[in-house]
Amino acid sequence: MTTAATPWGETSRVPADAGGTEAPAVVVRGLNRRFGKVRALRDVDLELAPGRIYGLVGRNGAGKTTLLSTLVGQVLPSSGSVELFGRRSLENPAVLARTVYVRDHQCYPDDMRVRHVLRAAGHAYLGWDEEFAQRLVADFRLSPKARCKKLSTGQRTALGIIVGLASRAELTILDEPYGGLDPVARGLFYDRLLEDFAEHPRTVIISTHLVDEIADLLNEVILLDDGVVTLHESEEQAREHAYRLAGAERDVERLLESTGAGERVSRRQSVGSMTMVVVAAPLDDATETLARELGLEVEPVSLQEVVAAMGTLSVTESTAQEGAL
Amino acid sequence: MSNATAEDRLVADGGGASGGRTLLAFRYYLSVPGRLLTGPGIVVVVCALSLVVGAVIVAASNAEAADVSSGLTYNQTVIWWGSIAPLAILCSAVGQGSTAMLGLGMTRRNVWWGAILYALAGAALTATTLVALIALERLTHGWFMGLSAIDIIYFGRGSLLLAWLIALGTFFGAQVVALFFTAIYLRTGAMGLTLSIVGASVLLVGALGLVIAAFSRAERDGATTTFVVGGELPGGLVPWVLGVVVLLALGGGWWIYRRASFR
Repeated sequence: MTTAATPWGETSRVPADAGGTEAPAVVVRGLNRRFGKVRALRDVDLELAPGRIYGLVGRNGAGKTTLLSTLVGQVLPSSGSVELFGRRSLENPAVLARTVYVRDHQCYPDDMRVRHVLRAAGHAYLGWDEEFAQRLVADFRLSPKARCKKLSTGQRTALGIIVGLASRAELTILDEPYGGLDPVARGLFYDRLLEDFAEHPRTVIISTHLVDEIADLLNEVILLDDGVVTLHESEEQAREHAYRLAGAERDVERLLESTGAGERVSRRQSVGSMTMVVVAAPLDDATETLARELGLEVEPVSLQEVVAAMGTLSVTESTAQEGAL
Repeated sequence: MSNATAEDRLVADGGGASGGRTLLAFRYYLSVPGRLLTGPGIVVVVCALSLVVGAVIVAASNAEAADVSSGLTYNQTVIWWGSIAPLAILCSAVGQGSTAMLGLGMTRRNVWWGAILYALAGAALTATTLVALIALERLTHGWFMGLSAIDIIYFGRGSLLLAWLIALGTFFGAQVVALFFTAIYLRTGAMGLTLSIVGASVLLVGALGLVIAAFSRAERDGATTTFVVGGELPGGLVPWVLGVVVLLALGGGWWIYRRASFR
């Protein structure tokens, strides 16, 4: 067990490796999805071990929601296969009954109230914890009598989080579960997720743009870029895909030129004669040695910066390819 | 937790088989308590309003109750109101609630057939309320005022069973046809819905034109009775044609909905 430290302080202990040697919870092979001329997913292959928390990250329009929706069959794939718990998921009630998927901006019928949504969710899951659900309702300050159409964006998100957590579904998918939530509510969500996950491990997939907030909760990170999985590693390994260099501008340029890392610079900031760059590449020994010799500072970056760096480079490379054509 | 154990528990709970999850979808539609009572409530309200209107007319004019009643028997309000409100609620539940229901682990099959089950239950409840009021009206000889507020000609003014069947078919059929268009909207979006409504309207106008032409020809040839009654068809041609339309909407709606993607 390891202790998970969130920006709001240390909370429950999280199983460091709850995956074990069980069969994968999710297996995706050659998944493609087109919407007209747009290829939202391109030959996605993925295997997710059970009992872990996965962060699905990527830029807007990368295909995160499409991927999550396809996992549970809400979006039909153009080609490829999706298996959950070893069985095809599409229109498979036995498999889907073990999943819960909460969208961002989840909508409900106009005449439903909060208590109706929770009642319906309670009927859907054997493992539904009504007491836990009511505690969460109180934590998020939702009124059970409130009509869903009158809820604010944050309240609607909170309702989705309650459904997602209290269902205790073996595969819990939360698509951007922070829309409209204030920092206190987000903290509550992270804390409750960790506490409940420690007591009731399951496979959780969270898509998010607030990478740094959630980084410490994650066992593994999946980076999706333009419909392609470009990274799928543990959170620690993912952070090694970029580093920050700072120092005198001429020394920084000298290092970039001699190591060939200049092409991998995703961000550059200069103040006077001092420069800071973020390089979207693993730091090798030779580069680290040269940096020390030149008196440059080499620092690790946050997961958010890794995601941003890899996303920026992807845009740069695409632009360069279009220019060459 | 092994796959076999989880599935065994689901089957034991009725949740593993698709039928069990269809009932779950049905329960989802029932999760708002007043929904199913909308149709019956409207029927009661229409009956009361018709009675009030009839009583006011009799009191304010020199008309006989029987004359006012004969006019009220052509009142279609209960058909329109009794159909439109429940179908609007159901279409909203399916249209807005599909992603929520699918997110709770139901399949498209569960959502669609759960909606059909709900439509049938609602129509049955509404029809039963209607027939109960008709029976009450007859027992009280027109609510002790000689007024026909709810015993309208469109339900036969005869056998209560026939009235119940006509009402059930009408209210259920209206919901099914509305669900058909809801499925089109979910599958193709607003443009597809617009085109389908325009297309259906053109077909309807064309069909009406054919019917009118055929009726005129039948009348001219003295064969009106045969035309209206539909030859050997029990109940006449119209119910059978409408029945076919509803069946096509039922199957067609499912065929469309099952391939809808929810982004």
